[in-house]
Amino acid sequence: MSNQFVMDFLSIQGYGIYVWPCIAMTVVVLAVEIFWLRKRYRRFYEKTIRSEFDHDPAS
Amino acid sequence: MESKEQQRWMRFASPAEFYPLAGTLVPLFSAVAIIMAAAGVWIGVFVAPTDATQGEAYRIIYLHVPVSWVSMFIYLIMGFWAVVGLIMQTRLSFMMMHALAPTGAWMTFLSLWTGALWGRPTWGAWWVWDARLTTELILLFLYLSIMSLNTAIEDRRRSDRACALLTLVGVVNVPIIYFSVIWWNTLHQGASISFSRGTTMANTMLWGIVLMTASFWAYAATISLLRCRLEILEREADSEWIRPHLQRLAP
Repeated sequence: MSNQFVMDFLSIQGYGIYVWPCIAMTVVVLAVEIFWLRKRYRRFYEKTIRSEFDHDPAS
Repeated sequence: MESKEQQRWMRFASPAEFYPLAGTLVPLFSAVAIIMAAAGVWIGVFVAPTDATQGEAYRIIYLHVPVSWVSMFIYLIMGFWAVVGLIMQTRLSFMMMHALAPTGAWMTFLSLWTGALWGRPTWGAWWVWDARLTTELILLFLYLSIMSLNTAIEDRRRSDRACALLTLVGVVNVPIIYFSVIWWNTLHQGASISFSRGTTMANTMLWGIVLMTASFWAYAATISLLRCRLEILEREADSEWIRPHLQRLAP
Protein backbone atom coordinates (compact mmCIF):
# COMPACT_ATOMS: atom_id res chain seq x y z
CA MET A 1 0.00 0.00 0.00
CA SER A 2 1.63 3.21 -1.13
CA ASN A 3 1.90 6.36 0.96
CA GLN A 4 -0.13 8.20 -1.65
CA PHE A 5 -3.06 5.79 -1.21
CA VAL A 6 -2.98 6.29 2.57
CA MET A 7 -2.76 10.08 2.21
CA ASP A 8 -5.68 10.09 -0.25
CA PHE A 9 -7.73 7.91 2.10
CA LEU A 10 -7.01 10.16 5.09
CA SER A 11 -7.55 13.44 3.28
CA ILE A 12 -10.99 12.37 1.90
CA GLN A 13 -10.65 14.92 -0.92
CA GLY A 14 -9.75 17.67 1.54
CA TYR A 15 -12.69 16.96 3.90
CA GLY A 16 -10.73 14.67 6.22
CA ILE A 17 -10.29 17.57 8.67
CA TYR A 18 -14.09 17.50 9.18
CA VAL A 19 -14.91 13.80 8.76
CA TRP A 20 -12.19 12.28 11.00
CA PRO A 21 -13.02 14.40 14.09
CA CYS A 22 -16.64 13.21 13.74
CA ILE A 23 -15.55 9.58 13.77
CA ALA A 24 -12.99 10.18 16.54
CA MET A 25 -15.50 11.96 18.82
CA THR A 26 -18.08 9.18 18.28
CA VAL A 27 -15.51 6.56 19.32
CA VAL A 28 -14.44 8.68 22.32
CA VAL A 29 -18.05 9.21 23.46
CA LEU A 30 -18.91 5.50 23.25
CA ALA A 31 -15.68 4.58 25.07
CA VAL A 32 -16.20 7.19 27.81
CA GLU A 33 -19.82 6.14 28.35
CA ILE A 34 -18.88 2.46 28.68
CA PHE A 35 -15.91 3.35 30.94
CA TRP A 36 -18.10 5.47 33.26
CA LEU A 37 -20.71 2.74 33.48
CA ARG A 38 -18.04 0.17 34.38
CA LYS A 39 -16.67 2.59 36.97
CA ARG A 40 -20.16 3.01 38.49
CA TYR A 41 -20.57 -0.77 38.65
CA ARG A 42 -17.16 -1.10 40.33
CA ARG A 43 -18.01 1.66 42.84
CA PHE A 44 -21.27 -0.09 43.64
CA TYR A 45 -19.46 -3.37 44.06
CA GLU A 46 -16.87 -1.87 46.38
CA LYS A 47 -19.50 -0.08 48.45
CA THR A 48 -22.13 -2.78 48.77
CA ILE A 49 -20.92 -6.23 47.92
CA ARG A 50 -17.48 -6.19 49.49
CA SER A 51 -18.90 -5.06 52.83
CA GLU A 52 -21.53 -7.79 52.64
CA PHE A 53 -19.70 -10.85 51.35
CA ASP A 54 -16.03 -10.20 52.08
CA HIS A 55 -16.71 -9.56 55.71
CA ASP A 56 -13.80 -10.66 57.85
CA PRO A 57 -15.21 -12.43 60.93
CA ALA A 58 -12.01 -11.76 62.87
CA SER A 59 -12.38 -8.00 62.59
CA MET B 1 -60.05 -8.24 36.47
CA GLU B 2 -56.81 -8.35 34.49
CA SER B 3 -56.52 -10.81 31.60
CA LYS B 4 -53.76 -13.44 31.54
CA GLU B 5 -51.98 -11.51 28.78
CA GLN B 6 -51.98 -8.33 30.90
CA GLN B 7 -50.70 -10.24 33.91
CA ARG B 8 -47.88 -11.72 31.82
CA TRP B 9 -46.69 -8.24 30.77
CA MET B 10 -47.27 -6.61 34.16
CA ARG B 11 -44.94 -9.21 35.65
CA PHE B 12 -42.01 -7.38 34.02
CA ALA B 13 -42.89 -4.18 35.89
CA SER B 14 -41.30 -5.88 38.88
CA PRO B 15 -37.53 -5.18 39.16
CA ALA B 16 -37.03 -8.79 40.29
CA GLU B 17 -38.47 -10.04 36.98
CA PHE B 18 -36.95 -7.34 34.80
CA TYR B 19 -33.37 -7.66 36.11
CA PRO B 20 -32.68 -11.13 34.58
CA LEU B 21 -34.66 -10.24 31.43
CA ALA B 22 -32.43 -7.18 30.87
CA GLY B 23 -29.39 -9.40 31.39
CA THR B 24 -30.64 -11.71 28.63
CA LEU B 25 -31.35 -8.82 26.24
CA VAL B 26 -27.96 -7.09 26.64
CA PRO B 27 -25.86 -9.60 24.59
CA LEU B 28 -28.58 -9.66 21.92
CA PHE B 29 -28.68 -5.86 21.50
CA SER B 30 -24.89 -5.52 21.65
CA ALA B 31 -24.52 -8.13 18.88
CA VAL B 32 -27.07 -6.24 16.76
CA ALA B 33 -25.18 -2.97 17.41
CA ILE B 34 -21.84 -4.43 16.30
CA ILE B 35 -23.20 -6.22 13.19
CA MET B 36 -25.24 -3.20 12.06
CA ALA B 37 -22.31 -0.82 12.66
CA ALA B 38 -19.97 -3.02 10.60
CA ALA B 39 -22.49 -3.17 7.73
CA GLY B 40 -23.32 0.55 8.00
CA VAL B 41 -19.66 1.65 8.01
CA TRP B 42 -18.94 -0.63 5.04
CA ILE B 43 -21.78 0.86 2.99
CA GLY B 44 -21.14 4.43 4.17
CA VAL B 45 -17.42 4.42 3.45
CA PHE B 46 -16.92 1.99 0.55
CA VAL B 47 -20.24 1.42 -1.26
CA ALA B 48 -22.27 4.67 -1.21
CA PRO B 49 -21.47 7.07 -4.05
CA THR B 50 -20.01 10.56 -3.57
CA ASP B 51 -22.64 13.29 -3.27
CA ALA B 52 -22.99 15.40 -6.41
CA THR B 53 -23.05 18.78 -4.61
CA GLN B 54 -21.29 18.24 -1.26
CA GLY B 55 -18.59 15.83 -2.37
CA GLU B 56 -17.09 13.57 0.31
CA ALA B 57 -18.08 15.93 3.16
CA TYR B 58 -21.59 14.47 3.02
CA ARG B 59 -20.31 11.18 4.56
CA ILE B 60 -20.78 12.82 7.97
CA ILE B 61 -24.46 12.07 7.32
CA TYR B 62 -23.85 8.42 8.38
CA LEU B 63 -23.12 9.62 11.91
CA HIS B 64 -25.06 12.89 12.12
CA VAL B 65 -28.50 11.67 11.06
CA PRO B 66 -28.52 8.42 13.12
CA VAL B 67 -27.35 10.10 16.35
CA SER B 68 -29.84 12.96 15.84
CA TRP B 69 -32.73 10.53 15.33
CA VAL B 70 -31.67 8.43 18.31
CA SER B 71 -31.30 11.55 20.50
CA MET B 72 -34.96 12.46 19.81
CA PHE B 73 -36.21 8.88 19.98
CA ILE B 74 -34.61 8.31 23.40
CA TYR B 75 -36.36 11.40 24.73
CA LEU B 76 -39.73 10.12 23.47
CA ILE B 77 -39.08 6.76 25.17
CA MET B 78 -38.21 8.65 28.38
CA GLY B 79 -41.51 10.50 28.03
CA PHE B 80 -43.30 7.18 27.68
CA TRP B 81 -41.69 5.79 30.86
CA ALA B 82 -42.45 9.06 32.68
CA VAL B 83 -46.17 8.73 31.82
CA VAL B 84 -46.25 5.05 32.78
CA GLY B 85 -44.44 5.81 36.05
CA LEU B 86 -46.71 8.69 37.00
CA ILE B 87 -49.92 6.85 36.16
CA MET B 88 -49.11 3.32 37.32
CA GLN B 89 -46.61 4.24 40.08
CA THR B 90 -44.14 1.60 38.88
CA ARG B 91 -40.61 2.11 40.18
CA LEU B 92 -39.10 0.35 37.18
CA SER B 93 -40.54 2.96 34.78
CA PHE B 94 -38.66 5.72 36.58
CA MET B 95 -35.49 3.61 36.64
CA MET B 96 -35.73 3.14 32.86
CA MET B 97 -36.31 6.88 32.45
CA HIS B 98 -33.15 7.69 34.46
CA ALA B 99 -31.15 4.98 32.68
CA LEU B 100 -31.91 6.47 29.26
CA ALA B 101 -31.02 10.10 30.05
CA PRO B 102 -27.17 9.96 29.93
CA THR B 103 -27.16 8.07 26.61
CA GLY B 104 -29.68 10.58 25.23
CA ALA B 105 -27.42 13.42 26.33
CA TRP B 106 -24.38 11.83 24.66
CA MET B 107 -26.30 11.26 21.42
CA THR B 108 -27.46 14.89 21.43
CA PHE B 109 -23.90 16.08 22.04
CA LEU B 110 -22.71 13.94 19.11
CA SER B 111 -25.49 15.35 16.94
CA LEU B 112 -24.34 18.92 17.68
CA TRP B 113 -20.66 18.03 17.28
CA THR B 114 -21.07 16.27 13.92
CA GLY B 115 -23.50 18.99 12.81
CA ALA B 116 -20.90 21.69 13.51
CA LEU B 117 -18.25 19.76 11.58
CA TRP B 118 -20.64 19.29 8.67
CA GLY B 119 -21.85 22.89 8.81
CA ARG B 120 -18.39 24.40 8.42
CA PRO B 121 -17.61 23.04 4.89
CA THR B 122 -21.22 23.30 3.63
CA TRP B 123 -22.50 26.55 5.23
CA GLY B 124 -19.18 28.20 6.07
CA ALA B 125 -20.10 28.32 9.80
CA TRP B 126 -19.62 25.97 12.76
CA TRP B 127 -22.80 27.22 14.40
CA VAL B 128 -25.80 29.41 13.56
CA TRP B 129 -28.78 30.23 15.78
CA ASP B 130 -31.01 28.31 13.41
CA ALA B 131 -34.29 26.79 14.64
CA ARG B 132 -33.12 23.17 14.17
CA LEU B 133 -29.75 23.68 15.87
CA THR B 134 -31.18 25.74 18.72
CA THR B 135 -33.95 23.24 19.52
CA GLU B 136 -31.41 20.39 19.46
CA LEU B 137 -29.26 22.41 21.91
CA ILE B 138 -32.37 22.83 24.10
CA LEU B 139 -32.74 19.02 23.99
CA LEU B 140 -29.19 18.68 25.37
CA PHE B 141 -30.04 21.14 28.18
CA LEU B 142 -33.19 19.16 28.95
CA TYR B 143 -31.21 15.93 29.31
CA LEU B 144 -28.64 17.65 31.53
CA SER B 145 -31.40 19.26 33.63
CA ILE B 146 -33.12 15.91 34.21
CA MET B 147 -29.83 14.30 35.25
CA SER B 148 -28.97 17.24 37.54
CA LEU B 149 -32.43 17.22 39.11
CA ASN B 150 -32.09 13.51 39.79
CA THR B 151 -28.84 14.00 41.68
CA ALA B 152 -30.04 17.18 43.44
CA ILE B 153 -33.06 15.58 45.19
CA GLU B 154 -32.09 12.90 47.70
CA ASP B 155 -35.56 11.46 48.24
CA ARG B 156 -35.91 8.92 45.42
CA ARG B 157 -39.69 9.14 45.14
CA ARG B 158 -39.71 12.93 44.96
CA SER B 159 -36.80 12.90 42.52
CA ASP B 160 -38.58 10.36 40.28
CA ARG B 161 -41.76 12.43 40.14
CA ALA B 162 -39.93 15.73 39.57
CA CYS B 163 -37.79 14.25 36.78
CA ALA B 164 -40.84 12.62 35.17
CA LEU B 165 -42.69 15.97 35.16
CA LEU B 166 -39.67 17.77 33.68
CA THR B 167 -39.34 15.04 31.04
CA LEU B 168 -42.99 15.43 30.09
CA VAL B 169 -42.70 19.21 29.82
CA GLY B 170 -39.69 18.74 27.51
CA VAL B 171 -41.46 16.26 25.21
CA VAL B 172 -43.01 19.22 23.39
CA ASN B 173 -39.50 20.09 22.12
CA VAL B 174 -39.17 16.87 20.08
CA PRO B 175 -41.82 17.63 17.42
CA ILE B 176 -40.51 21.20 17.33
CA ILE B 177 -37.02 19.85 16.47
CA TYR B 178 -38.46 17.56 13.80
CA PHE B 179 -40.75 20.13 12.14
CA SER B 180 -38.49 23.17 12.66
CA VAL B 181 -37.16 22.91 9.09
CA ILE B 182 -40.75 23.01 7.77
CA TRP B 183 -42.20 25.64 10.11
CA TRP B 184 -39.34 28.12 9.81
CA ASN B 185 -37.01 29.23 7.05
CA THR B 186 -33.84 27.57 8.29
CA LEU B 187 -30.28 27.23 7.05
CA HIS B 188 -30.49 23.54 7.98
CA GLN B 189 -31.66 21.47 5.04
CA GLY B 190 -35.12 19.93 5.00
CA ALA B 191 -35.79 16.23 5.59
CA SER B 192 -34.30 13.98 2.89
CA ILE B 193 -36.34 11.04 4.19
CA SER B 194 -40.07 11.44 4.74
CA PHE B 195 -42.81 8.93 5.58
CA SER B 196 -45.22 10.66 3.18
CA ARG B 197 -42.87 11.63 0.33
CA GLY B 198 -40.33 8.79 0.51
CA THR B 199 -36.65 9.64 0.01
CA THR B 200 -34.70 11.90 -2.32
CA MET B 201 -31.40 10.07 -1.85
CA ALA B 202 -29.76 7.05 -3.51
CA ASN B 203 -30.77 3.64 -2.11
CA THR B 204 -27.24 2.79 -0.95
CA MET B 205 -27.04 6.08 0.98
CA LEU B 206 -30.39 5.36 2.58
CA TRP B 207 -29.32 1.84 3.58
CA GLY B 208 -26.14 3.20 5.16
CA ILE B 209 -28.20 5.59 7.29
CA VAL B 210 -30.79 2.93 8.22
CA LEU B 211 -28.10 0.44 9.30
CA MET B 212 -26.19 3.05 11.33
CA THR B 213 -29.44 4.16 12.99
CA ALA B 214 -30.22 0.54 13.91
CA SER B 215 -26.69 0.23 15.32
CA PHE B 216 -26.92 3.37 17.48
CA TRP B 217 -30.41 2.37 18.63
CA ALA B 218 -29.16 -1.10 19.65
CA TYR B 219 -26.16 0.50 21.39
CA ALA B 220 -28.47 2.86 23.29
CA ALA B 221 -30.66 -0.11 24.30
CA THR B 222 -27.61 -2.09 25.49
CA ILE B 223 -26.16 0.71 27.61
CA SER B 224 -29.55 1.76 28.99
CA LEU B 225 -30.41 -1.80 30.03
CA LEU B 226 -27.02 -2.16 31.73
CA ARG B 227 -27.55 1.18 33.50
CA CYS B 228 -31.07 0.14 34.50
CA ARG B 229 -29.71 -3.10 35.99
CA LEU B 230 -27.27 -1.05 38.04
CA GLU B 231 -30.08 1.31 39.09
CA ILE B 232 -32.06 -1.75 40.25
CA LEU B 233 -29.05 -3.07 42.17
CA GLU B 234 -28.51 0.29 43.88
CA ARG B 235 -32.16 0.75 44.85
CA GLU B 236 -32.94 -2.84 45.78
CA ALA B 237 -29.64 -3.68 47.46
CA ASP B 238 -31.48 -4.53 50.70
CA SER B 239 -34.06 -6.79 49.05
CA GLU B 240 -33.84 -10.54 49.54
CA TRP B 241 -34.29 -11.41 45.85
CA ILE B 242 -31.16 -9.48 44.86
CA ARG B 243 -28.73 -11.47 47.04
CA PRO B 244 -28.01 -14.29 44.52
CA HIS B 245 -27.48 -11.65 41.80
CA LEU B 246 -25.06 -9.73 44.02
CA GLN B 247 -23.08 -12.90 44.70
CA ARG B 248 -22.94 -13.60 40.96
CA LEU B 249 -21.62 -10.06 40.37
CA ALA B 250 -18.65 -10.65 42.65
CA PRO B 251 -15.51 -11.45 40.57
